[in-house]
Amino acid sequence: MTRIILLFVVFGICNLTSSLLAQDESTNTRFEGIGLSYAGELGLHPGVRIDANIRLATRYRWRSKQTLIFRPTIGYFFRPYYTNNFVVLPQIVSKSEFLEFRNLICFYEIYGQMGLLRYQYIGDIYETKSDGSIEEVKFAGDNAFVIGIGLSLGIKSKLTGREFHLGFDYNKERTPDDLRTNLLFINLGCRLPFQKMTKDDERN
Amino acid sequence: MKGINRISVAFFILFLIACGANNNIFDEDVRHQLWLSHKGADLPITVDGNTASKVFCILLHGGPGGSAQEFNSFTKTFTDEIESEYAMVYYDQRYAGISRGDYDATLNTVVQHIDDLDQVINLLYLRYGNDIQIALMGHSWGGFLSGAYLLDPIRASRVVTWINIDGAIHRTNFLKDDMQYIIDLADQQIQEGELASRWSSIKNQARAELDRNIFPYDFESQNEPFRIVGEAELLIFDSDRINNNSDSAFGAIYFNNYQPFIAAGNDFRDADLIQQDMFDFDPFMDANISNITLPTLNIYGFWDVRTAPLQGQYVMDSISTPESQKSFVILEDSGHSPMINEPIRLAETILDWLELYL
Repeated sequence: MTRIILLFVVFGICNLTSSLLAQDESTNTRFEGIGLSYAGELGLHPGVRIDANIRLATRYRWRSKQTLIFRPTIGYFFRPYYTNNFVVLPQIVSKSEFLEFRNLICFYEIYGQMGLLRYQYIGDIYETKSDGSIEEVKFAGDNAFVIGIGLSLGIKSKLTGREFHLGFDYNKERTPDDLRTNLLFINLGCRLPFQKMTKDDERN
Repeated sequence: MKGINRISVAFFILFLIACGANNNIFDEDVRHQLWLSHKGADLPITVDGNTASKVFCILLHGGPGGSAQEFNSFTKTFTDEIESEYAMVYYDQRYAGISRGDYDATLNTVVQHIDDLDQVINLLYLRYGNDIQIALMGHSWGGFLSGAYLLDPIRASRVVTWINIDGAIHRTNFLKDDMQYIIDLADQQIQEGELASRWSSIKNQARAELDRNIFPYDFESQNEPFRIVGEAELLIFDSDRINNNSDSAFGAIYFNNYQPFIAAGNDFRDADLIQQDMFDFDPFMDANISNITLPTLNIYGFWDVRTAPLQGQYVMDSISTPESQKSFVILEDSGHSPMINEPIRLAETILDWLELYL
């Protein structure tokens, strides 16, 4: 069932991507800024994510603005007494601005992500050798494939271009040991614009 | 930028807290996280407590497929008592709990689990020195596994004492023992007029199962007795006969190493294989259990219909330990998980025993 939902969402995002890219309004790719967020696995396993926003396409519908963003993301999260985890998770984001008041714009984002997770065991690590002896080794862990979807809500300042967002994402993790498990993140963070907003940005 | 600075400071403080743990090898209150990679499996081992005592109590979890880390997370009332005197060793077996590594169905066997335990003991001697003492404890399947380990006298010589908590030592007999115990318990409850009609129904089901006279059981035919056991446990729960004292899941997940999704992922591993292997192990257990000569403490719950106390009697009757060095304790207010039902009494029973034999 989960697989079907994930496939549905991935196809949905691909479809959205192609429909947005097909719009004439604005397809100029532009680096928009960087983001830093707290990304807690299961909420409170501390983690951090850094991302870059690359706008792929924009379209205006009624009074709202929809943007398609490619967001390369790297992150780290910590599971106490268990693993240090590093992720590379490129995201395809559909961002919709839906409400404007004073100098603030409210938006929501739906995104799909797919990437790699590297986990390293925390602690003193030993392994047995073929001759029966045990040796201490420096690092051990493995890589996993991660695919997921997410949703976030946020506000953006029209004056500074700064965004603050809160969201969550759900991921399926497929490890080489064939352990199929889940990753849930709660994200809270901000994004800073690369340059001051242009008149065109402010208009929308 | 101010916001970013604050986040950075918060992470730095968390990092300092993580680094601040006591890393001395021998001390009265330490926690060491170890990993042992053996034949494809990555086994997490937590050593927690008083390593200065140089006594290490290995606690084997139940299942197959449980997690020893659960004991250090959800039943701290039980384990903290022992940790104040000795070092507890929580080790998650291959394909169980929060263990990782490659999955190989051909290694999901009793013999491989015994080999894994042997390597864990090797690691403890390597890391903490040959002058340490090891007490082997096991709950349920862990009781079986610890017993199976001790069948080899050379391996047994590396352990000081065996503490069998609700161990299902003989797989086929334990299902029959469960049915018989449910009948006996039902008779007693019916006499006392306690939920008589429900006990009467369960008794009839257990009697019918015994009358089928299956021998030996296998992983498919065990389903019916397990269903009856489940119903009996529900009835005991409904009678308010036992209390549950479990620590919070919040603490287990966020301040300890319990990983619910990893444990759930491991739950999907094919447990049928190892359970069938346990049935196949019965003749070997019968033939060799008399090799065990270690001081042995058997602890069973009076309300335990999952591994009936009759299994403890089987151990008492079969091992070659002198009478004065073996004991059989029934915890009156416990079911299959005395570490939850009577954590303090269980811990005190174990501590009293260890004081005698260490």
